[in-house]
This record gives sequence, C-alpha cells and structure tokens, in this order.
Amino acid sequence: MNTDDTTISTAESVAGMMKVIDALKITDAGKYWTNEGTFLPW
Amino acid sequence: MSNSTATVYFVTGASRGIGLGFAKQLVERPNAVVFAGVRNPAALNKHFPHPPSNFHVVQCDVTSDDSVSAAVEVVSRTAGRVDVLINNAAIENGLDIRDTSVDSFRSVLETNVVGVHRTTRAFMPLVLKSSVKKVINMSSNFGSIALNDRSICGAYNTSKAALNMLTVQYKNEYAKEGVVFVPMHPGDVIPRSRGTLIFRYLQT
Repeated sequence: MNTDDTTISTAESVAGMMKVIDALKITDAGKYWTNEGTFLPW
Repeated sequence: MSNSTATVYFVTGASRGIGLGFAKQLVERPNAVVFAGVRNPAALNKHFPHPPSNFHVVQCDVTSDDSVSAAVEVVSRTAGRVDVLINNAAIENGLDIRDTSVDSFRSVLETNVVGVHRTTRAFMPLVLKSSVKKVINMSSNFGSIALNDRSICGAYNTSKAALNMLTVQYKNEYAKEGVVFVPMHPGDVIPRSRGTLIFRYLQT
C-alpha cells in the first residue's frame, strides 16, 4: 500500500493496466491484479 | 460497421480520471472500438473535440436501470458485442466512516457495488457474444482487508472490498463460459495521506 505518497500519473496507470488486460487469460481470472501485473492480498 | 477483427471496449465513468485515461489511450489503438459510458455526454466534448469514428459516447448512469439498459441497446446496435467491459464508475464521499451518514454510505455502495452488478448483469449477453470475454472491475488497494491499516474513506474502502467479492462471485459463475473477471488496482494514483481530499473531486 502507498505509504510514502509516491504516485504515478493516470496515463502511466492506464498504460500499465492495459498491458495487464491485454495479457489476461482464463487462468488469471479472480486474482486481485495491480497495474504492474502483480497481485494484492485480499 | 465492420468490426469482426476489432476489439470492442465499454468503459463506465469515462468522463474523468482513470476512465477518461482509458478512453484516451484505447481510442489510439488500431482496431479498437471504444464506447465511453458517461452520465453527462457533454462532459467529454472538451476532451474529444473531433471524436474519431471508432469512438462512441454513450449516456450510462450506473445507478439507473433505464440508463444502463439504453446503453446496452446502443452498443448492441452498433457493435453487437463487448470484448472488454471496464467497470470504472465510482464515487467517494470524502468522509471518515464515523462521519458518514447512512444515506451517504448507501449512495457510495449504490454506485460502486450495486452499479457494477447492474452494469455487468445488463452487459453479460453482449460479453458472451465475444471471443475475448474480459470484465475488469476497477478496485483499489483501499479495498484490501489485509492491507487496510488506516481508515480513511471508510465507505469507499467498504465498497471496494465488496466489489472484490462480487467480482469473485461472477468469476466463479462464469468460469465455464470462459469469462475472465478480475478486480484491478490502478496503482498509487492517489497519495494515501491526501486520499480524502483528492477523492472529493469525484463527487460532483
């Protein structure tokens, strides 16, 4: 979680998410994805 | 419109923030057909003064059955399917949970949780016509119970935790039809310490 107030731009966020979305396969369903292609704990 | 090889996107809450960011970047893609769902279509005029032919602004208020049904109709007529549904529309009340009235709490959950259910349920017939079948629910790390050690934006955080579970329910039920449902954290676009302040702009 963001604790140091480091932020990214909306454009950077969206670009990252689009890359993740493009690559999604059925086996990736139901995971808590981030814009960086990593997962978060529930 | 010939779009058998195009990818058809529908994005809710596309008038600002991350939704607008999606609309702007998707429309630049070759072979993308982009439907931008917004409460007020005029709000997009200044961002797309000369909308390209692959860009469609659709009135879509996720808190309204009629509005969402009408949006489904438009997309059905124009593209006949949705390849990627991005449930992005969300609101925040900018308040700690102790200061959040029941009406305000209900309003946040109505948009952020019920609105996603309403939209997804209405669009599923079009998603099932796709060979891509992806539904992206814009969540947040604020919705993680494991990570949430500091309560700001209590109603918002509650809504995103509920959205995560809603996404998993859809994923379980539609796995055999090959639909990829995911909740997604957009990254730290909001400074945590200023989260409440910055969220306020969402609530107009």
